Amino acid sequence: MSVKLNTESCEQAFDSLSGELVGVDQAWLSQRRHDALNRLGNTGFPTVKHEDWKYTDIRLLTKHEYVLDASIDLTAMAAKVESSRIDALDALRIVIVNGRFRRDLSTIDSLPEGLIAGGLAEQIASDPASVKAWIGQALPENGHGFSSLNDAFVNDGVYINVSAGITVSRPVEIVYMISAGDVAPLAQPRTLVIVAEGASIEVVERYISDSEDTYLTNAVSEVFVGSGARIELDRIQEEGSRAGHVGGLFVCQRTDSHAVINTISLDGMLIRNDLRASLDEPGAKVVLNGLALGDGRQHIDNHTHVDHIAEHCISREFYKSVLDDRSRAVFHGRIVVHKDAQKTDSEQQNKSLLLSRNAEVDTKPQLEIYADDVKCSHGATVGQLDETAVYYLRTRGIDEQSARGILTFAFADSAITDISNEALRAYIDTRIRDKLGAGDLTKGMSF
Amino acid sequence: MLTIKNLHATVVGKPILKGINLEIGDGEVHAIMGPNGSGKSTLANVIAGREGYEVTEGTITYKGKNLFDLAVEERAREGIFLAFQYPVEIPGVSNIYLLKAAVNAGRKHRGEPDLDAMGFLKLVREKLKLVEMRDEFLHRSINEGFSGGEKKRNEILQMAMLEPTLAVLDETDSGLDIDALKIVANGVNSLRSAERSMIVVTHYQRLLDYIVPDYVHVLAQGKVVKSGGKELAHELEAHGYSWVGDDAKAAAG
Repeated sequence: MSVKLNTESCEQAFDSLSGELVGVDQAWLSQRRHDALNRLGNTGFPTVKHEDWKYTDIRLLTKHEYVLDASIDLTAMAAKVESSRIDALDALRIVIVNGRFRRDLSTIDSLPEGLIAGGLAEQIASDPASVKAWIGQALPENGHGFSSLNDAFVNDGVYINVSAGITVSRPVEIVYMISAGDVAPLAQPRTLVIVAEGASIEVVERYISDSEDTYLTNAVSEVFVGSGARIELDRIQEEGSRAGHVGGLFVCQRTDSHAVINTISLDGMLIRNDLRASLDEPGAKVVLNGLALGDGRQHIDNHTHVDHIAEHCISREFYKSVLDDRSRAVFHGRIVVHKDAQKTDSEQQNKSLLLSRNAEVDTKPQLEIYADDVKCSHGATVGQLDETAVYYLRTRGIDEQSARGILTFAFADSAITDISNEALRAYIDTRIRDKLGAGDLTKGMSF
Repeated sequence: MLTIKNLHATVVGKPILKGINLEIGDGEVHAIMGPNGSGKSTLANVIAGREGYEVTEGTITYKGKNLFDLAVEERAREGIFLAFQYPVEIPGVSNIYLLKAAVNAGRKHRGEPDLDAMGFLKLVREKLKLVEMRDEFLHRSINEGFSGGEKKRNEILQMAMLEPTLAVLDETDSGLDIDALKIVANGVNSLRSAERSMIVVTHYQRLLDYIVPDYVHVLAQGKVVKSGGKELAHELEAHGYSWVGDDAKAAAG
């Protein structure tokens, strides 16, 4: 079944596919899908005329026809899944191929007490109420066409639930892979992560493909952080060179909860991230870090939105981009301090380093404050390498290329210091170093 | 060690050095004094090879080689060290990393193997004592959030690690209180040797009470207008730079 990114084509695809989606006997789920399709019909897909899409032209994505049920080369996938392992990460692995959960490729045979982790479709089939209670709850009412599309065809993905008071000691790694080829797959994984009261977990979302073919990932993740609960979610984007990636991540936080979200965008032709955190109850803290590492003609767009709903909440947001060649980054960070959110403590920074004359960044830090007793700061800088620093390093005997590599690496690397897992950090370090061509001298630099 | 002949240099097209002549012998410490704008820092940066500092005339010979044939990093590996007037803050790069990279760059240049971790740590601990810095200093980003004194001590620590044959100290005394000045001067003095020459650039005579030079040169309007022994610094202190003013005018004329 193929589909183009316009409402008519999506409606046609829906008519012929919706009967095959999981949980058709669940009225609430069918209703959700129909509502989402209606929303899509009303809003359509965004164009550059929409303020939130002013700098991101999706015509690169809409010109293709995508296949919703592309076949999978399982042998090739098994090998790729294996080779994508990060040694020393020692994670529970959930593998998703073209949006579908693959138990055969996953490593979740022995889950610790209090942890449910597996495929969303299986969860809907076996315990629909456990999904009904959460799905869609973190999505904003005024979502854009892509998140409506994901919602309308919601079928599979990941379901993770950590019971109250449980600390999951091993990270849970979700590997979203693509099997492309003659056709351009559209993968629409839906991920639900529920961290109950006082529980704690580290989730690593990896979007990986070495494919040179066209495909589109349209992912939506929802994260619910209970009272006093803690989550670190590291989203690493290493999509194929012709891939589109539209990724929504929606986080709801309760009293005294703590969420750290690291978004690392490395590969992919066009990446659009919508990250939204809602601090619904007092004492919640969210940390949002981002790194966009662009080269060639890559386009990386980060839209973030933090809602300070309740009082005494803290948000920290640090996004960086390093752009070479003709690559382009967009940062639009919105912090909204609602009227009851007194004593809000919020900081936001976007820093960009341009390595080429043709690279471009459009940055828009935005602060809206409706409370009167708050501490908020925000800012953005765009610049090139500090030539005085290059000179300084050279006067110490370090050659110019290495000096530039060291400074660029240091700039980028500072965006990942909140990733607590050493093995993962080392992996990302290597990826950053390779992509920047920062040289061997930057090994052992991180501290 | 270093011979400067008729050196002319411009910075962004503006002539700053207008015919400097200097001869620095092995193990000698030369002080370069002069009022603001006389070209002291320009001279230091021309020796280090900073871009944008264009030599329009004259020569500098270092250990028998034409200095201008060497890139900034090659000069460093050949033993030239510049202690910055304003040491640069580099977030995200630790002091220990820089020290290791710099020391090994020099060793590689000399055909020596990299220092192993133990050997390096032993060396760095020894040098830390010299400038009265604690171990934790090593793991902080280069000069980030350092006080003025800490920055200058860090420069001397780097110098101690790199063991240069020619050290150029550019206004190392600026921004230092008397205690920090003593620490820095002690560090520098402990590095004096028959094989190591130094050029100490300073506006004030005060530093020269602690780092006693063999020769003092007064720079004015891009030229050396007076040279002498260490007593020249005291005369300058007593009479001010206007005292050499007449010579300066003559030089400019």
